[in-house]
Amino acid sequence: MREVTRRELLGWGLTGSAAAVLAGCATPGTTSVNAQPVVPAAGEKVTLTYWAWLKDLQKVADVWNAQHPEIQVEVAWIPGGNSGGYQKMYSALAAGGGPDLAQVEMRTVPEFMLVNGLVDLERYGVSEHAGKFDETLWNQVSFAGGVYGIPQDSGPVGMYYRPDLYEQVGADVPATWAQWAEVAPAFREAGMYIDSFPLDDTSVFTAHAMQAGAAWLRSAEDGWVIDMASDVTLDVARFFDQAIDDDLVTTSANPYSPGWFAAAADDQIASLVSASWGDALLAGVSGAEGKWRVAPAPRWDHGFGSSFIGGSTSAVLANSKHPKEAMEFAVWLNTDPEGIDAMIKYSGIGWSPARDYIGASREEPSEFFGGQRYNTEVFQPATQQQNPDWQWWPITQQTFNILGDGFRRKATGGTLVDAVVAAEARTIEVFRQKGLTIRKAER
Amino acid sequence: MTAATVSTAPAGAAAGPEPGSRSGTTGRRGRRPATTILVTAVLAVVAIYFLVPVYWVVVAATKTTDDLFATNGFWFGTSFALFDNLSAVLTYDGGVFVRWFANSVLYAGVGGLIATYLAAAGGYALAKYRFRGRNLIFGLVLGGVLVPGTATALPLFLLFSQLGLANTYWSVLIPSLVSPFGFFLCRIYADATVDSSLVEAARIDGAGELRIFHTIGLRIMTPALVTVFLFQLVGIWNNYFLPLVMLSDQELYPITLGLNNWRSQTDRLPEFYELTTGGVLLSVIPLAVAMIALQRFWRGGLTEGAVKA
Repeated sequence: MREVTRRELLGWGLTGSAAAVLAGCATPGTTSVNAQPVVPAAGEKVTLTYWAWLKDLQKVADVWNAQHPEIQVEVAWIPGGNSGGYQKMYSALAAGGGPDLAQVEMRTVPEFMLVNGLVDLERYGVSEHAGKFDETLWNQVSFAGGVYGIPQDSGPVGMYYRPDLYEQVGADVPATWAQWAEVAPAFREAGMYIDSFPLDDTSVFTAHAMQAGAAWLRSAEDGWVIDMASDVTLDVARFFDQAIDDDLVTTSANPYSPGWFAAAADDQIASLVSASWGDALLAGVSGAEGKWRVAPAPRWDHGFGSSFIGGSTSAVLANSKHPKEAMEFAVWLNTDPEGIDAMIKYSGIGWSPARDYIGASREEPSEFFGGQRYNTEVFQPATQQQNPDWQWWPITQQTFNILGDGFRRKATGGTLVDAVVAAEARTIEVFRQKGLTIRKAER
Repeated sequence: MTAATVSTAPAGAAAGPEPGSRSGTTGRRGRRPATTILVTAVLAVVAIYFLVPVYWVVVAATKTTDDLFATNGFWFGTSFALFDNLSAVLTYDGGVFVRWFANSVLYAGVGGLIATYLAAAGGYALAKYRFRGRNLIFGLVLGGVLVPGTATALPLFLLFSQLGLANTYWSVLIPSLVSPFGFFLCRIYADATVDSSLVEAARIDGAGELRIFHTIGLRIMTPALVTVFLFQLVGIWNNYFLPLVMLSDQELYPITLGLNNWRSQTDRLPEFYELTTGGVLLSVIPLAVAMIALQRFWRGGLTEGAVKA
């Protein structure tokens, strides 16, 4: 779907070393591993290491190990990416070592590409497996004709809601954001909020913009093209500016924060537009059993039916001695029914990227959601209604932080709209400082 | 002895005379009451600031995950699940927490002891022997005090990877064996307290240099050594970044790294809140014990040598 060329890949490679110097870890061997000859399959017993922060992933790997004596996988349990995990991976890469596989979030894949940290799996024949994966997710790991990670989990968006509270205020479950804004005041009159809007976790706002059809950055022949402050995104920003100004949503308790858990337990939160992985978190709300249901996310009058928040990949790191075997394991882990079921059972992952299989336990009616088969009813269809044009960029996390800083000014009279416009300008600056080519989209 | 027995016996009877005797003590010091009140108030605020998080941990560790956010954070919830939580902490994943705990004790205990010994030896040598370049050495080490440990972690990791020592006990232990600050403190302290004529006398009696250091030097320097040991113990116990980059086998993890792994899980699995708070509660105990047991040495240590006798 994207026209990206070899030239662009070269551009990334060249700027990669400059970025590494800027980042303060001048990496020995920043030449791309993807320019070197393909490593042939070992043909003898190999042991792979996998660094991931999912819990009990070794138990999942053991299922594979039992069936594949020639490819054994050892999992190291490391801290979450942004709580030190990535730093650890970057250090290991810089030292010329590191694991064969690592858990890298979708949004962080381009950042790893920038320091030549990932193996292009296209060269190891990954395309024959492409059909097994959700198309949108596959697009997010595909750059310039290469594939830089195997999708591992994701979070399609739906709306969790409390039927009893909706009934209490006499509101219908909104199918569009316009209806959502219409029914929201009724909850305020009853001392509740229809939802909360996190000012400092911008991944939620990003998901809303994504759903509306925005694509903030895309890679083109002549570098990156930014279209963050597009009308689509600004409309979404305006919508939530209004919602916050009218006190329809609370900004004082981010979803799943301690304050939010307390408010939800106290029947003050009527619904929550969030990702599929929120199901396990809702179970942490005191006395929530049986009270919640799931509906499709409200829609904009353009764009897509759903969106997603979060998601990670099993990526093959540049210094792997056995990329081919690592890729085979990653494909099994994330598409084989046995792998998926084990990931749900042991690691508690929120959604699987396979096209044909969502996991046996996810098809069951859920006791917590009052017997609703919410996964097949809501989240599985949601995966079919995603924005396929969305692409992450090499400084995603930094853009999120910049945007979050802007959003926080909302508390002192700023607006989300201003924050988006400012974040676009700042993102362009940071790109240029890193030596990356970027231009504004024509609009 | 008898007086103590009497005052502890019936609480009501002892309550009478006590306040009187206490105010008598204050009066004798001749301090202005306003100053006393002000200083006490500031200290009380500081104490509250430091103790409230600990209190929160104690309270939170007694709650179930359900109660954790649904009930008042500063008072006990409806259920009392402390022992359930602690047993969950100790048994989760085959008792891996116990392993992390033992690792931390090893890194901090052994690292702290050896670092103290090395700092004492270095500081003593620099204070008591005259040789060319001693001020240069002192200057270099002093420079080392100014470099934060985090900044050296990455170069150390590259070095240890080359040596094939990354992801072993040594990779965390060896960097913990040096304490530039301890060296600095020991030199100053040895300068001020270990009398050169005492060393001379020992030499005349035929004691070797090592023996003088071990039997005289170390003993005189004890207060400083306790200070250095405590600093190093706390420093290693709380170190996060070095083990983070060095270790990838969770069997080698210290408690800081392990607890952070658990905390990362709360993004998806809220039951890890209880494991984490329970683990935090257990992990502060050794530090509290070390502080309380060793603080009397510390108090003596910091003032000595400050004034020339």
